[in-house]
Amino acid sequence: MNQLISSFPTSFRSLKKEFSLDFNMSLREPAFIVPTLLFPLMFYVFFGLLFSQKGMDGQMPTFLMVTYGVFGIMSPALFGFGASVAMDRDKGWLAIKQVSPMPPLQFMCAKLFSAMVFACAIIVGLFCLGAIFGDVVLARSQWLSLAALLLVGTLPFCALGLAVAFLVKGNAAVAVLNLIYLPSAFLSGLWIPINYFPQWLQQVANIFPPFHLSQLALKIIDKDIGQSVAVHISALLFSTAVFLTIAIWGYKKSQTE
Amino acid sequence: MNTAIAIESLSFGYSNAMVLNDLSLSVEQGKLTCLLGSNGAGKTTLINLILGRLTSSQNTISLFGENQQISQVKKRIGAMLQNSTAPERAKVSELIELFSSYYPTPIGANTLITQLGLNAIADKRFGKLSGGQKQLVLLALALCGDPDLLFLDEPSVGMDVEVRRTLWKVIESLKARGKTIVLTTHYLEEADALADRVVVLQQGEIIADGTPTQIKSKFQNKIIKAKTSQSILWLNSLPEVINTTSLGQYVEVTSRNTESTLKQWLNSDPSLTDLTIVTTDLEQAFIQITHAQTDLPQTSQYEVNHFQAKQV
Repeated sequence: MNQLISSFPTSFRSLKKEFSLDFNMSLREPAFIVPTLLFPLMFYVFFGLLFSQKGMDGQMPTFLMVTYGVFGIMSPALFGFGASVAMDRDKGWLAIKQVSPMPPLQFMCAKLFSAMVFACAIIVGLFCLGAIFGDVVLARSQWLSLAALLLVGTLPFCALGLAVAFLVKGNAAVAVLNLIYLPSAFLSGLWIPINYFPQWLQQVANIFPPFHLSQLALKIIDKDIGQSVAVHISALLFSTAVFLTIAIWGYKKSQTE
Repeated sequence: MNTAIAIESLSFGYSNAMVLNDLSLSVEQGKLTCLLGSNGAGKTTLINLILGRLTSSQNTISLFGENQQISQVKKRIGAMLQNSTAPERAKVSELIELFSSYYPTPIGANTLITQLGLNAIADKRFGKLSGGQKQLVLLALALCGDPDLLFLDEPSVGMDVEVRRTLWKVIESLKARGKTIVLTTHYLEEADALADRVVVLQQGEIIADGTPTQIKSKFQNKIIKAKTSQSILWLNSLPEVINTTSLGQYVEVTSRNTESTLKQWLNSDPSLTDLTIVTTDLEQAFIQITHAQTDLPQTSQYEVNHFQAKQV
C-alpha cells in the first residue's frame, strides 16, 4: 500500500514542472517536432486534398482526415513518449530519476500529457485542413467524438512505445519504432483506404492496433468495414495490456541495470 | 555514534561470477567514507545495492539504523551516479528546479546555483556545458533535497582543477554540517584529503579499512631514486629491497627500511648522485595493498613500479 501511495505524483506543482520541462524539451528538438507535426498534415494535403478530392464519391477527404488522424497521433505517442524514454534510459537520466524520490507515475504522466498535447495539435490541424480545404462536413457530435477518440487512442501507442523503450536501447529504439510505425500504418489502411485492399490483406490488418483504432474512428462517420465495436475495443485493450506488461517488466529490469 | 548504513554479510553476483562476497560494512553518520578499489572491485555494485537499483536475495542493508529500506528514506538521500547524465535540451535552472520539487525541504534552486557557482550557466542547456560543468550540475541535482546521506560515485571524472576545487569545498561544507558521504574516486589524493575513513575493496571483499593515515602507515615502504653505477642485481639482493626499476640513468628502489638500504647503497657506490626519497602516499599504499593480495607475475610488478615512478 505504501508503495502504491508513493508511486503517485508528489504534488501538483512538481507534476506541472515535470510536464513543462518535458514539453519544452520536445519543442527544442526539431528532429521530433518537424516530422511529428508536419508529416501527417502534409500527407493529408497531398493524398487527401490535392490528388483524390473526388475519390470515394467525394468522400475521400473525410475518410483520409480520419485515418491520417490515427496516423498523426501515433507519432507523438511512439516517438515523443516511447523513444524519449529510451533515450533517457540510455543516458542514465532514468537511473538518476529512479534514485530520486520522484514517483515513477509522475514521470509517465508528464510524458503522456506532452504526447497528448502534440496529438491535440495534429488533430486540430487536420480538422481545419479538412473543413476548410476538403469541404468535410460533419455534425458537431461527430467532430467532438472523433477528437476524443483519437486522444484516448494515443494510449495503446504510448504503451507500445514504452515497451520498445525498455526492450531496445536509445537510437535503436527509434529505428525499431519506425519499423513498426510505417508498415503497420500502411497495412492498417491509414494511407490507402482498407476497402481497396484484397480480402486477405483486410484480414491481416486485424493484428495491428492502428487498424482497430481507425475502424472505431471511421464508425463515427459511418465508413468502417463493418466489424463490431466490441472486437475493436477489446483488441485495443488487449494490446495495451500486453504492451504495458512488457513495459513494466522492462522498467523493473532497467532499475537493476 | 549512529550508523547511516548497516550492511551485514551481503553477497551479490551474477550467474557467472560473484561481485560481492559476504561483505559487512557499517558507515557512521557524519563521516566521509571513501570506497577505493580498482575497476571491477565491486564499488559501484555496492552503491547500486544500497540505493536499491540492484537487489540481492538476502536483504541485509538497512539505512539510518532503523532497519529502513531505501524506498522509505529516498527523500533523505542524494546520489551522483556513474555514467549518468541529464537530457541535453534541458536548461540547468529547469533541471535544478524540477529536482527541488521532489523533496519536502529543498535547499532552493537559487541558493544551490549560487553555492555551486552555476550562475553563469543557469540559463544554458545541459548539452552545451563542458564535462566538468555537467558534473557540477549533476552534483547540484544530488544536493537539491539537502540530503543527510550523499553518494558520490566518481564525481570528479571530467572535472578540471577549478571545478574540482569547488567540489572539494562543497564536500568540506557538507561534512561540517554533519552530513554522511560515501565517495568513490580514482583520484587518491582526493580520498587522502577528504576521507575520514578509507575502505579498500578487491574482488568484492574489504581488504583494508581505516583512516587514510592508518592505511598509509601500514605501508612504510619508501622509494629511493638515484643515479648510480651499482647494478640492479646487486640492489635487488639487499634484504629490505622489495623492488627495483631502472629508468634511464636512474634506478628506483622500493625499500622496507630506507636507512639501512641507503647506508649499504652509499657504502658500495660513493659516486651516487641526485638522490631523492619519496614517502608512501595513499596512491602507493593502495597499489601495494591491492597487489599484495594477488600474486602478480613479474612483468606487472614492473608496471606497478613504473606507474609509481610517474607519480614521483
